[in-house]
Amino acid sequence: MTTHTHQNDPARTAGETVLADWREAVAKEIAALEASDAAPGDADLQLAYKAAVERSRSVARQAWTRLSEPADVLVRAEIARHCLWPRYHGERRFEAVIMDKEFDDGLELAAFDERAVAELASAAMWAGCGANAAAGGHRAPAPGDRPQMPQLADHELKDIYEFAGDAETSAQCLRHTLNSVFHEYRLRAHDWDVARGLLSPEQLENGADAETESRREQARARARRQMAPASDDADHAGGLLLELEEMLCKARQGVTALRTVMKGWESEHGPGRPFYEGEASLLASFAFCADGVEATLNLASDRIDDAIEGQSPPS
Amino acid sequence: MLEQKPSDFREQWEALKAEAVALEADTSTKDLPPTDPKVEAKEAEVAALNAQKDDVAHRAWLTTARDLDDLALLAEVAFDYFFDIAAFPQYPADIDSRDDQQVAVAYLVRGVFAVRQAIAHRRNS
Repeated sequence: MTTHTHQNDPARTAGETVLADWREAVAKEIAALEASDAAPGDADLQLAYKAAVERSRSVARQAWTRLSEPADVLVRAEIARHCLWPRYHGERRFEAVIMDKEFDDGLELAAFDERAVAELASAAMWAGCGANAAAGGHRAPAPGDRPQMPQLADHELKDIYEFAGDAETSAQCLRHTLNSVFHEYRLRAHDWDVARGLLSPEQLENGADAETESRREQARARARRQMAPASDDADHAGGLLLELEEMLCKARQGVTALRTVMKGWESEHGPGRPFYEGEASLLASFAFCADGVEATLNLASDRIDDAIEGQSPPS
Repeated sequence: MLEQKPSDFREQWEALKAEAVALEADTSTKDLPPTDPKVEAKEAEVAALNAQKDDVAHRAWLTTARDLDDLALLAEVAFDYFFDIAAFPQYPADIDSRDDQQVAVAYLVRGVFAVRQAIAHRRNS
């Protein structure tokens, strides 16, 4: 039986333990799915994914048998959301449903039944299942309370949600596309040392000294001579690089839009309307996310520039 | 103007629920042919009721939920789309053997309802 470290935390309520168990099960499901992208068809990874899904279902069945505190409703909301919009590809659809917007790939507006569940799950996760619910109504937060969600106007919250979702989804798409490109070039390079050297993330992230840089330049030159792709392969590689550039552009727009909304939010606060604790935390979290995504985009951008210049595989 | 919440629509929703229960209970057209004017009239009543429920639902979704009363309204709206509000809070007998999505929705709605009842009971006792 798998041991979960949070089960032994005496400070957690039983409902919080179930919630933590659920989130851990979903995280493993996503990790198994993402690992499968690196080696399609790998039987062990498929088994790992199936086991992770079964674990999620097992936690869901346990969660459905207990209901003694508002936190249990939060677990059920997360389960419902995951069932209808799985965490590894459904977030954008979930947000589009909430915003009552047409999904980018041409899917029609959500039917009301889908919208109803999305609104309920979203409300349960964001508003209804903290200390406020236990008190049965509105009251000012007490020092021992869990952090309250910010009292944003509906359109502000939806704006932030939408832009954060755009940035996150773009970053995920970028990661998947990078994996595909890596896989494509690695197959064509047949595990050459030059391919492994070019694609080493540690060398690129930690910075290269002169000797390493010289070795990399030599490796790139060798790669250009040896790879000489067929015209179809070159077109395909060029297409992938263009796709990467478009993804980067979109991701940057998402981050810029998010920062714009955050600035507007900050400007509305002052001595007359200070931040609540939850608001300040949320703003800090979004700033952290925007900084992180931007740093990743800058790194990816540098690698793509290298790839376009030297016609060597990006990493 | 105060910001609206889903529970602001509770009175309207209760009236629509009562109408749904009344329509469900009316079996006078049960054995009539589909083209009978009374059957068509009832179908028109059901369609009009559904449109009114959709309107309340959509307006509630544009507001911001803050507490369990708000969640309760949203939960009943969700229940109605999947199972039929006339029977609320009773679920179909075979709910546990339906697909994962319906089960998840059912348990979420049931959870909101049960917790709200439990808290109301504690307050009153």
